[in-house]
Amino acid sequence: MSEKTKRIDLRSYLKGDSNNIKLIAMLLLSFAVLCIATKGAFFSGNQVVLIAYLFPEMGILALGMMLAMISGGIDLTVVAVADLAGILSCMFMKAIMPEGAGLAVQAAVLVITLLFSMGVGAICGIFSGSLISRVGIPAMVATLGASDIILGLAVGITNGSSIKDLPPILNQVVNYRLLGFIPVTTLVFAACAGVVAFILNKTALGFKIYMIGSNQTAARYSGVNNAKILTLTYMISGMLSSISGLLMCGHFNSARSDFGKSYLTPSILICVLAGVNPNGGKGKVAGLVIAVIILQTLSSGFALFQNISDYYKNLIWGLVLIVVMIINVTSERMRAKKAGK
Amino acid sequence: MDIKKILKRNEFYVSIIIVALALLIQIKSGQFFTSNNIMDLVRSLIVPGMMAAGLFMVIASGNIDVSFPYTAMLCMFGITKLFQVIDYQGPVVLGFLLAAVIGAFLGLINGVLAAWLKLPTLIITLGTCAIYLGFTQGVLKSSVISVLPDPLADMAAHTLFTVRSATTGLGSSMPISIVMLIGTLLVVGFIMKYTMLGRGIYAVGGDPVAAERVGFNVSAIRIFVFTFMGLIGGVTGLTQVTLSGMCQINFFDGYEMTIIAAVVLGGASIAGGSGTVFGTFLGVLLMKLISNNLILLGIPTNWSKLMTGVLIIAGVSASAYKAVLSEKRVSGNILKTGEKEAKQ
Amino acid sequence: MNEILLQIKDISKRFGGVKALDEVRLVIKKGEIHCLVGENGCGKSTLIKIISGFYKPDGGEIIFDGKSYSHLEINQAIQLGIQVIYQDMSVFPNLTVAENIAMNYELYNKKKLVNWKEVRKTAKSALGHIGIDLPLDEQVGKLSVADKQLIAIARSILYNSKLIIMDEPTSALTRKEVDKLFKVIHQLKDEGVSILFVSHKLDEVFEIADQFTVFRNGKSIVQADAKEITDDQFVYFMTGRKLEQKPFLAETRDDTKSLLKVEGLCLKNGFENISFEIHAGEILGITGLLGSGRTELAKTLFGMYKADAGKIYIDGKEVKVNSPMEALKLKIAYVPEDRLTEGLFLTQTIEKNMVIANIDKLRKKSRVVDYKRGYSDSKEWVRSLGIKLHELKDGITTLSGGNQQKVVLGKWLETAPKVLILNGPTVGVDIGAKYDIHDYLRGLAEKNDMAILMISDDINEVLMNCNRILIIKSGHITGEYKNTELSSEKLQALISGGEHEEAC
Repeated sequence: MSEKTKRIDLRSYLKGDSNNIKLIAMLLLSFAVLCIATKGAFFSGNQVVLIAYLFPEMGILALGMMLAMISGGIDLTVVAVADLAGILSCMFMKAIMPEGAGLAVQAAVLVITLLFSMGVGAICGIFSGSLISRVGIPAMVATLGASDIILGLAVGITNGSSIKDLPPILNQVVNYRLLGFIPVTTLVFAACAGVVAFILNKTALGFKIYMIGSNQTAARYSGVNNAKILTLTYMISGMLSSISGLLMCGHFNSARSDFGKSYLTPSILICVLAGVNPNGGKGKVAGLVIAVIILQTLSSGFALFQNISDYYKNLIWGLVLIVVMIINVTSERMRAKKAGK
Repeated sequence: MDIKKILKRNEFYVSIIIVALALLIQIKSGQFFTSNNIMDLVRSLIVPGMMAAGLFMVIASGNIDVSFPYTAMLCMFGITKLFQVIDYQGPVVLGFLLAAVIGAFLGLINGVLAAWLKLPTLIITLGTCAIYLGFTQGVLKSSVISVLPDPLADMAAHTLFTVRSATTGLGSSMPISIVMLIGTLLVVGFIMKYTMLGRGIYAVGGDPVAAERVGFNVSAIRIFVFTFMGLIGGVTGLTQVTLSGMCQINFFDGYEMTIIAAVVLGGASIAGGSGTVFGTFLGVLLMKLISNNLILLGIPTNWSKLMTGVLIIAGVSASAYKAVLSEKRVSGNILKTGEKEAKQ
Repeated sequence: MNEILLQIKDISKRFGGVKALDEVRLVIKKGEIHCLVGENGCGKSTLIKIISGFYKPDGGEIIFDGKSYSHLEINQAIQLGIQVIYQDMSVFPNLTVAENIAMNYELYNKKKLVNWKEVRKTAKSALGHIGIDLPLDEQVGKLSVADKQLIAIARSILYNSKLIIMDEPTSALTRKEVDKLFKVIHQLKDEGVSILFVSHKLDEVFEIADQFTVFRNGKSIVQADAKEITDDQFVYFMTGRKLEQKPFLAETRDDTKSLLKVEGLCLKNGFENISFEIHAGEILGITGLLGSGRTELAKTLFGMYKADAGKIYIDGKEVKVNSPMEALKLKIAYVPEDRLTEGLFLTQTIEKNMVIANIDKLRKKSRVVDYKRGYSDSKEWVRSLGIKLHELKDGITTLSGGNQQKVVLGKWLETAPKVLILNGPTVGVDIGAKYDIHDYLRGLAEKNDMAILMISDDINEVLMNCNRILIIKSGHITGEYKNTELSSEKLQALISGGEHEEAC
């Protein structure tokens, strides 16, 4: 095994910058293609703002997924957590919002709701993180089961129907555009991305997440508290998912147990596209941000073509995921071969 | 000696739970051991049973496949639609053959990608499942077909035998496709136990490097399990059409989770290298027993998803935690090696 | 029988930037017991994997039974009659003993179906062949290391192979089992089978070899008749220098100052009643077979296992080590046995590999990690340990085994440990780095403030660097000796059983 890994020259592999350049080129290319295809209609300010408004829901889920993947696992609960947190916090907000409250009170309620939502997310994350790190269930099975439990709760609580008549403040805030064009959702995403980048690059926690993802056994032998770090990783992922869930509720002005359903594959796709190694130990926020924007651009681009059904989105995302993996693997192998000679 | 062995087996415990649960339902509702209920249970086992048998092989080889329900959807709609469009009147077997070929091809794609890229198969098959779903919905423009083409409708109408409840007068019939379930279970059981291919699947799941060294063709084994899974996916897609009397691809939404849960409950480690087809079948039986009888148990159907999740976690927790504990202990007995030496 | 069976001609193999084999040559005749010897990391294992078809060589020629090949495929090699006993056993932990043993036979015969009666029969006869009794239906994962090694041996001698390669087949075996194995080897030789026996234990090589080949740093140094050579010449061929190390005498030792004391330590299934003390200025050695409990002892001291009974004192104070995290806090450092899986983060940079154990201490008041300090600390260790590298930001895999080991050592020294446990400190390390590490450890010991415990199965390493040596067997300490009162032959004999048995 050792020799096999040795064959790959990791020096170039580790320089994530080349991947980011590739991603930016891809983004520009997809913009250009869509602009030409729509005879310039795509490159309107409106379209860009729409993209900026829509991508954060998926992007924040992908941030959580990325943390789990860097730690060498996967978090299949992101969507379930977003739905459950959305439902519970909408119920919570409806319950505590006083009748005819002023703006200040409404804002305060919203902040409390956000904290409540993140609390729900944290509990869900601690649950799946503990299943992985303390009970020892492989991340895939653990989060699969946890996802069913969490989503099961959401379905059970709502009987599968949606929660409507939310206090308008949520929808207003989510749809608000700063200076008339910067969507609040974008700012929320920026804040989340900033926090995740800070954790990964500046804190001991982030360092340990990378190291555990790289070699869990060696981390244990280096005195790292794997159980604690992994639980924290999934907790943060859960908190991020819950924020995304709240954004979705604001976007649709209601809460349902199947809002995020179509986001699971894309959030994994974003991570792979961003150069996060599915085997763990590698991945950067910068790459993820570009990858999210690429995906949303493509997806908004498709929406412009009336004759292409929405269903093609799945087909194309799947194809992109497979093609990106093929390109990543083959280019890595070629590089390794070159280094050998 | 032999009793001790039986006590150690996972199948034994799953069987006990199944019997206990059946009795519980009987006591609570008095309706479990009715011929109708049993027949409905058996009927509902056909498709998941076949799928689980295929997935068991994939999991035993140390891989995972989440794309097979989408393979099933593709074949389900594709072939029903084809029959409808060309107004096919020939034997239904041809449809199943076609489903098998298409399914096997889609599985082959998974297998080749897995063997070639050597990335986690969860992610690879997540990618292909999006492709298969997108193809069915986008390119084939799937819709609900409620009036089946004649060959399929004939097969749906044809049953082995029917039982009629004396009290309610409701009839339940045994579909022909039960033969396919039995056939699949026997084939998978035979492969896993009595062929070198099956032993190779266990070997690869246990230690891929060692398997390669003793001379197993690891890539070929990987490709085989995925292709076989695809084949079963295709066939079950069409089978489901004959069972439900209509073609609705939604049926398989999220099915992968249920089947994975069943296989894991049946005692196969998700890391590969273990499990039996019999255990897998028991796992499916347990899952279906619960989901079919939730109402008899007094649980509203809205909570069935939660039950699935709890089952998965409960099913794997014991063995996972045992592994965690055993890591904290010395495996084998070092002290004993000395005793053995002294005796010799 | 003087026909040549296998001829290796100018075979080369590179991994990334490292040349593992450089135009090596090897000739094995039919019915010959040929020993391939060399230090760890000299390319022996790589050559074996090339002969067995696991690796493709970059150049050269393999001539087997008169036919020339540029490379072999795994199955091709098996069909030609080449069987390998790998150093890591390569057994299937999830399958039974019978299946494991019969598997090679069935694959060789290209069986499609499994006949379980035949599987048991085959396995039984193979075990009978080497005179061992194991439960056929037991899962191999539950057996001891020695039993796994016996299974690996049993399955390779099942049928008429032409060449059996044994890579360190005796690392876990007691003397009695080794004797049985040697009997089998002679029997095979009489049947005309060639054996390529790979080992670094000189006494074994002298005992069994007809011919031998020495590898050093990926090159074949010499091939000669085993009878025409002396011990000293041998060592010279292997290491490329005369043994110039002087035994470590612990001249600065202070017997009144106890740095680490272990009293009656017990671990279920692992070891019993282990007691020893390390004084200032000492390097204590513990040696024993693979699976003798030596690694379990080290892991228990580091908190990976929880001891069932017994006491541990550091600097005279009793401590409890329940986890590696606690060990780190108590300033216990552990350089693990298996560098690649337990010591290194292969996909990360050298720098990250160096700072991992210290990351919590690198935090500033604001909780932000001070990577600058980590960088300069790492640089300091690179300098003082003499690690040869291009840049700290390079991947760890760009380093040679010896430099990688120094990184692991540096990582732990940065934590300023009070107890330093080294398990196989120079496995897979080239000779230059090996002496560097030894010298460094001696220097550390002479500062009189760090308890150094060296666990190793490298006889000469223990003899040269530890002033006292404990021998562990089946989880019991069976003797304590000064290094000055032992020779390497004597120590080898003590380890693999025999004369000390009356002592237990």
